[in-house]
Amino acid sequence: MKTELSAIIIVFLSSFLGAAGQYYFKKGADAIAKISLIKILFNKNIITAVILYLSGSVAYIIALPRGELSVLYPIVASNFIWVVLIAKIKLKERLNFGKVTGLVLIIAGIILIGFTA
Amino acid sequence: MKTHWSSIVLIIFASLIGAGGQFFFKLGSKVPPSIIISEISSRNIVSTLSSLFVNPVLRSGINTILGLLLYGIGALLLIFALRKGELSVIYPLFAGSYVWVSLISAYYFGEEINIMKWGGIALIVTGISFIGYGSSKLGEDKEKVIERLGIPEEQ
Repeated sequence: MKTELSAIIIVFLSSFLGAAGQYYFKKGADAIAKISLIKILFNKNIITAVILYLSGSVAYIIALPRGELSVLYPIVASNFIWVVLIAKIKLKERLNFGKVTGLVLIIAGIILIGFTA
Repeated sequence: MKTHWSSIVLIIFASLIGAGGQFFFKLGSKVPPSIIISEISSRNIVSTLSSLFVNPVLRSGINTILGLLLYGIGALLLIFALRKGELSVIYPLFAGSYVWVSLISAYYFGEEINIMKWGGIALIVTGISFIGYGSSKLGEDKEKVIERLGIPEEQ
């Protein structure tokens, strides 16, 4: 079974949606000082996060039959790339040696697997 | 914080469950959701429930739901493991799921895992480990030491 390019693009998109979801989870979690179920369920950021997460999952399920699991699942790791970049740009979290090295290795790994598709 | 052994057990378990979720996702993705919905709407509740595991279309839907469930449990276990564990230990172990999924792809779905794929997996697992290290207290403390010594940052 060959992996379609469209499936690869959809999984990248799905990981980005997941990463955007994580950003809103973080924003929501920071805003909620005391943990209460009601506050969590009705928090605007948390609702946004859940919607983004679910859309990401649906996109992933759409992509799966169009390619090999051993190609598409590793691309899910691109989630780490988006999360680190979003954290740097939107949350002003600092990059350091470990994070940058990690990003470079993950990108290299995905490119290597992409070549087999 | 030192990582408690219970967190290590939890996270290995989580990586296996997460990989199991991928297995059922892939199984369930064979039949498009639209066909599953039309199959359910063409039956009544009793007929749907009674042939839930026999009818291939309905079984495909069950597999997707099972995949989602396992995926969710894996994510929850990750959160619990992080409570008593360091990112630098937990992340690399959770990334083990990439190895499990490759093995599942080869044995159950007959996909070819060549040297390039294994190389890619190795790079990804190492990369996730580095991000775990960089995000942990250990990695950030070391960064502060470098700052104090006056070594300029790259960017």
